[in-house]
Amino acid sequence: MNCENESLIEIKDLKIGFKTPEKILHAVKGISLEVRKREIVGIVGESGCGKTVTALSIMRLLPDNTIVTGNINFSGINLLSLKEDETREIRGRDISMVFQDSLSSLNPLMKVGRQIDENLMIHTSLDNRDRLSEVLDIMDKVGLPDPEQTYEKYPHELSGGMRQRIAISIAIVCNPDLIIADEPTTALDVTVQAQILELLRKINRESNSSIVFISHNLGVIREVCSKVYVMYAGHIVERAPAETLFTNPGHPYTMGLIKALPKLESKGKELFDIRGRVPSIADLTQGCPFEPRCDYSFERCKKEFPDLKKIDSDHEVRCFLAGGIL
Amino acid sequence: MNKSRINLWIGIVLISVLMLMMVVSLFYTPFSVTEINRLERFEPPSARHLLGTDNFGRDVLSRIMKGSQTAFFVGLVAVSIGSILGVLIGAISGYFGGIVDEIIMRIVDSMMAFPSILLALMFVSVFGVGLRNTIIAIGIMSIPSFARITRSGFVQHKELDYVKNAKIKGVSNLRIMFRHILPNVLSPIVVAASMGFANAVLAEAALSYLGLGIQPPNPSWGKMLSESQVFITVGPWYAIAPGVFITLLVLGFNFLGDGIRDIREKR
Amino acid sequence: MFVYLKKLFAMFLTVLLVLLITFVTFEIIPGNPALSRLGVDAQESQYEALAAELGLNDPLEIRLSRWLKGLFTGDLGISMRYSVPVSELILDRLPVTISLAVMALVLIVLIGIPLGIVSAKYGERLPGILITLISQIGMAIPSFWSGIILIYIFGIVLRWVSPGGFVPWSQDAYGAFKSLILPAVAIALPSIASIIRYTRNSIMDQMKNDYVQLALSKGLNLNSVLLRHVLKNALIPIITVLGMIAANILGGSIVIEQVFTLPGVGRLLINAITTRDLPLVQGMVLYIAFIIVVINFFIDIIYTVIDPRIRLVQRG
Repeated sequence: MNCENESLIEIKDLKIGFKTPEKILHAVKGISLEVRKREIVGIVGESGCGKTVTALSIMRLLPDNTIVTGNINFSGINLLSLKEDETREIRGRDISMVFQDSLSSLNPLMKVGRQIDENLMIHTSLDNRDRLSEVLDIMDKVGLPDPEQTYEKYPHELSGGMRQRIAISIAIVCNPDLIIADEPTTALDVTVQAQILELLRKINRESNSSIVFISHNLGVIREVCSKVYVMYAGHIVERAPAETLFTNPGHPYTMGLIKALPKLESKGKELFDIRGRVPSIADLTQGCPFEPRCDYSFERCKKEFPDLKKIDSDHEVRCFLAGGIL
Repeated sequence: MNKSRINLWIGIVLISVLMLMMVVSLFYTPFSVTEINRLERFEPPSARHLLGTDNFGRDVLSRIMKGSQTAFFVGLVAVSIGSILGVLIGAISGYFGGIVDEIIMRIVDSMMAFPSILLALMFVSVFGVGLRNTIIAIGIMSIPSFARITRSGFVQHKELDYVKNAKIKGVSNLRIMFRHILPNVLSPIVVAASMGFANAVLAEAALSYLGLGIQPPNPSWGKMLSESQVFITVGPWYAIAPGVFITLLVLGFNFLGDGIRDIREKR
Repeated sequence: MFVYLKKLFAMFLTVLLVLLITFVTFEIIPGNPALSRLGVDAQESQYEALAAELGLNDPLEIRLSRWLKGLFTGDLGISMRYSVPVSELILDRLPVTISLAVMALVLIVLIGIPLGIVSAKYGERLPGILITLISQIGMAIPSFWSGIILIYIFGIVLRWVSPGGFVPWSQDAYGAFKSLILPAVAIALPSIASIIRYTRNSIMDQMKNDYVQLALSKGLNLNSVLLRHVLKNALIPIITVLGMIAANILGGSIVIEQVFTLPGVGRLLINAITTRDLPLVQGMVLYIAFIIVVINFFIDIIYTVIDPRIRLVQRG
């Protein structure tokens, strides 16, 4: 059996709503996506499109006032139907998470080594010595210099890149099946960013972990992901292999994101920006949510919400014009 | 009803009710506040005396009502003194910065480290007891918190563009401080004023309880408590009412302050 | 270290300022300490002798320099009313007040912080709201009133303790504890209420941080996240409040010693003020200022112990 094609996590019709005194505001409006074993899948979109909320719903980390419906099938179990203590067993062991800003996501008052160690303490029965050697191993593996010394450091004593390596160590120390990385390189400068991306690729190559890579930056996504979901206003508007997305984008929004990427040849010219603003989750429209910002919109887009249309075997687009004149 | 407004409404209702009582007492109290009636000493609460009578046979409710005048008056004037001086000091300190700011804030910090009742006690010990000195003492005591809050607002706002624009246009410093910046930093000051009112009520009660605040025959809730303590075995109810009313008034202003802050944070 | 020195210096300056103000204001007050000690019926010769003895007839600058010299040599002068050195009087009363303060502090920390944690854990749900409401009321109750009520309930109705008075620790430790526990509770109540609020707010603020999400994403349960991660972080702002709490306790003991007729420093201060005993008042102010300086110094030390970031970055 070819494990490359086996599904690890499958999300079906996921809806996430926030209860407010007046009504329920939906941040995610029915998305479906799939991550296969050993795959790196990208979720891209501007902030507020629902990508982080989706990640948190997989971890079951959303606050109490959220309503999550749908199905998140992870190795045969629906994560959404698990009890609190059952999710705790999965968290950190089977699914782990890397957050955007390592300065705020690491506890400022705890030595970084202990923060990695904690994960082993929860999920393994190793004794202190074994855990220590395990932690030092992982720290070495993610490229932290001098693990013994670094173990004793506090987060503020490390550089941004080193902190993110610590955060990655925390995520991989229990050898999880799935790592969710939410904008893991956004807070870093470009050279460090490249190193961290390389590290994630290496982890994916050498262990069995699949990675969900969340970013607003299509360029970063292109470097690491094999498959990409483009999200807009709580919907998936396009799904395609990373290369296809760049060579043959199907949705006007994706085109805009690609155009907005800074390119070498356009150096000195003004950067392109998609006009208009991301709609707030309180905005409700019958039609396509991208319509107000779209260069190709027409009458139908205002009234009707397009379905995801398959334009190739692994390429889906939510646009009336997809596969046609675009 | 909006959940975030609950604090505000509790505060408004409590204060309004007590204020109504205070206004009524200006024109009417069920019994005379000063007249001694030896036949009715230490009567427990009844239909005739809702809150009972004290050691001189005076109606406790009437004295509570009259005492609310003192509480409101002391609170209002003391907070006015404290806020005007505190805002002035804080504004100068925050707007001009430098060595003046450094010195003022060191003093303010250290004053805040002292028990405020001690400062008030020192003041009355020097200038003597009585209504006027109580008010001044409590007012001075509340200056540091106003100064600190105003200063932090001014420090933030003086770097903003609208202030820079005003400076470029040649608006005078005084005008920038009080016509441009002050309205923008007013809401935390209003919150502080509400809390300051609550503290003033507590401080007046404490000073009067110690015999170093309001002097008889002026009715004061704190003074009533110290009288009641002597006779607690004969008339325990006398010790209840003044405490309850102090608490309600303080509670009202604390809730009001929280409520105003809630609204500000919501925005 | 520089920060400490700056702070200490500022504190020292303030104390000096406060003392100078006391000195000057006592100089200009109407009424004469020698007269108030002898009473209005005193004879002229009697008054002259006493005034000379107290040095009241010396010029201002001589009195000021004598007073300053006394300050730095630990000689706080002689009480006008008791004719005993001020330092002796204060030392005599110190055990009561210190016992009271320590007991109150223990109550505040042991009751207030855990309740704050519980209240934060339940957030906007009923137990959280309830604790918040109770603490809101607790802050509004004047401590001397709760003292009176405590005396009434436990001293008069239940007769568990004898209201008022103090038994020295050396004589009867249990009796001393019994005579101090009610006043300690009365002093502690408002501070318990406010530390509940601070703890709750601080924890709820910390709960918004990413490190809480990371800790949860490791598979820790909420209680462990609260105790292992959040609490220590949340304590940092609470330590700042401890300075305020210390001031509250001292201020509270001034009033509460009066309520329970305890022979402590607070009661001495009230006596000194009502009898206009200038050296005594000055001594007490100096004593309280000293205690506050020491407490704030310790709070700064606790800071650096708990927060590794401060060792590198200077706080402004």
